Amino acid sequence: MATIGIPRGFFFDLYYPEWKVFFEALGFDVLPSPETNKVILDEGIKIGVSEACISLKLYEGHVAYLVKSGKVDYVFVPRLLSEYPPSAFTLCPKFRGLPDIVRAALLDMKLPDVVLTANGDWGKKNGRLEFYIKVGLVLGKSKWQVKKAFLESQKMRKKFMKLLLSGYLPTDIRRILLDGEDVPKPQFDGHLIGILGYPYLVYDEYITNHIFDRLRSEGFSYITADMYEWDELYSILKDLGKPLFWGQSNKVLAAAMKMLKDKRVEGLVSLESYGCGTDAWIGKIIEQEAKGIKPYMELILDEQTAEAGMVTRIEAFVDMIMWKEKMAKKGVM
Amino acid sequence: MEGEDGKERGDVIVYIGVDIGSLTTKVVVTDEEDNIVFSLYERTNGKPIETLQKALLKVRDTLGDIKVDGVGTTGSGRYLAGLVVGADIIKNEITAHAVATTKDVPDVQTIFEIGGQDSKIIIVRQGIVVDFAMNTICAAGTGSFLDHQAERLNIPIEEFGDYALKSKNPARIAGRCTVFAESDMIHKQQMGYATEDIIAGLCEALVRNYLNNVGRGKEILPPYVFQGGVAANKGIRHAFEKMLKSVIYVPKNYGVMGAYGMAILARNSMAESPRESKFSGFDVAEKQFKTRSIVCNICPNLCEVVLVYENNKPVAAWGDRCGRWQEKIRPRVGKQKKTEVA
Repeated sequence: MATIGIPRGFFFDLYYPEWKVFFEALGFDVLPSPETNKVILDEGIKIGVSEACISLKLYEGHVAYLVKSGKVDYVFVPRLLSEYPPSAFTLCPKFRGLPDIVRAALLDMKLPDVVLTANGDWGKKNGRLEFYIKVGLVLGKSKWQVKKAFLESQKMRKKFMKLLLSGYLPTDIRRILLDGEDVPKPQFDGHLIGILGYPYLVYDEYITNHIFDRLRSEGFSYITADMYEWDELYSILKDLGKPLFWGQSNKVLAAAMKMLKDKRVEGLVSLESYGCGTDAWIGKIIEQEAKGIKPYMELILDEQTAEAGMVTRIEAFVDMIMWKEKMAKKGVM
Repeated sequence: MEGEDGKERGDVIVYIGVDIGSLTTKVVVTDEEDNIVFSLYERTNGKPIETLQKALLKVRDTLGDIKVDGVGTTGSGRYLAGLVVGADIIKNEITAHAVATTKDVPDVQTIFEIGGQDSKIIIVRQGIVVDFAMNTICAAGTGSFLDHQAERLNIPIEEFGDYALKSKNPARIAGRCTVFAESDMIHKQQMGYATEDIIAGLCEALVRNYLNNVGRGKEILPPYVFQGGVAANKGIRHAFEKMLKSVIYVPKNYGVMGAYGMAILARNSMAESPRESKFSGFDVAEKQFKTRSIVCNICPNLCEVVLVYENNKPVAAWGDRCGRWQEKIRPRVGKQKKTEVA
């Protein structure tokens, strides 16, 4: 049976489990690319356009890795136009052009065109189902078969979302749902840090230098934008008067506003992709909103981000929060 | 051997703070009241371990018999230093600097710290850090920018400040990038600007760059404290005063504040949870430490791993993303990954 490769970038962390179930229900084998490593990063930088953000370069690196491995017949590169129903917020242009960008990047490498794609307007009613049907039809399956596989995949999605909303990281959820491992339940007691940023950056342990492990070893727990109900975030946006144009940015901004009000969260760290246009906006907006309310720090990540600089900033941020608590206990404040 | 107060010298309890930066090594020894009894500021010259060992010998030779009750390390070489001296506490530079400054100037609200290759701004309110930032991407607003330009102008960096103060009309020089600063500077030289005006211009360019980049979006309020190696430069201090229209306080020990902060933190830590100090003793100066860097090619990450040997026995490793080398030396529980990948 044919094998479908799924690059570990952009949508992977939030959608891989349901995609895996969908394709397997249709009788395909599914193979993800490995976790980001230096070879993938270097490849992405080599074939990607220099102006693009680091996350797009990483995605291209993952696609190239899959194709070059020779183990896959297709690489699944969806063209997502919108997300987050019922908002129908537009996604970043790199998502709209993704299959074309990927094909152009692979052109010089003279690799076979294995891109499996379909347009997805997920922000609209039934947008998700329509997308899956298109994908299934491309693969030569009947509408009936596809609908059945879709229902299976949505069962997986439900399980995934339940774990995500209770604070498990996507990587841990994959271990639980796909590998059948036991992972300790996330704790929200003690010190909680809000981690802001797009899922494809936040959950890539290579590019963030294992930020979650580091926080954990400092005795901190964390919450990300994806761990809040979308409906809750959406209502915050409606109160804003005028939301931003880009979908993912709206989600991060709303999560920031939520975290500023969430009594459990003691500080906010925003992970941003060097070269991301929208981050330049929301970073500033969050900075203004957080001023005088909660500690806030921006970490801009790129392919050269050194471990030392990152560690120092995280340690200092964590210290700042602990120091405040210590002084409050002593009754100084 | 007896000291003046009749106590055995061995009873004099001290705390050692070490700050290994990119360019310089700082060591401070304090007594039980946080008074500095010894301080040292030296170029690291790319040999952090040797420099530190020599510094420890100097501490022993200067202070004689002392009982070291706590050691703290900071700076970019804090883990290496911590290993060599046997640190009781290892902290980042932001915390270390803030602790020292609030001790010296309790009502400080803004700390400017400019070192060799990095610069920081620390915002303090009621004695605690509430915000901070470090320079990103390049070293334009740091000591090495000045070093570079001083060299180009053929003026010793020590005299830079005096030159700057002589200027009546500082030249406007782009300070965003050393490359542009250079072309700007050469242009101004060709135009016939006086050297002191160019130097004062450079100082202002650095401060402007620092406040606009590192200090961007921060609530910069007096009292201001300026520390780090660059605080020795009167020209920079003057440029800060001119731009902020306020007095800038430079602490007496401006160059070793990070180390001083670590000595204080070491004392605090030992007082909070009394225990035996891990200090390796001054004999550590005689030990052979060697470091070796290898490129690990077990996986495609090709990490540059640094291995540290004490008398030919590996004692530490870092730089490996997976923790494989660290684990070899100090086993820990790792997580297994099962999923098959391409």
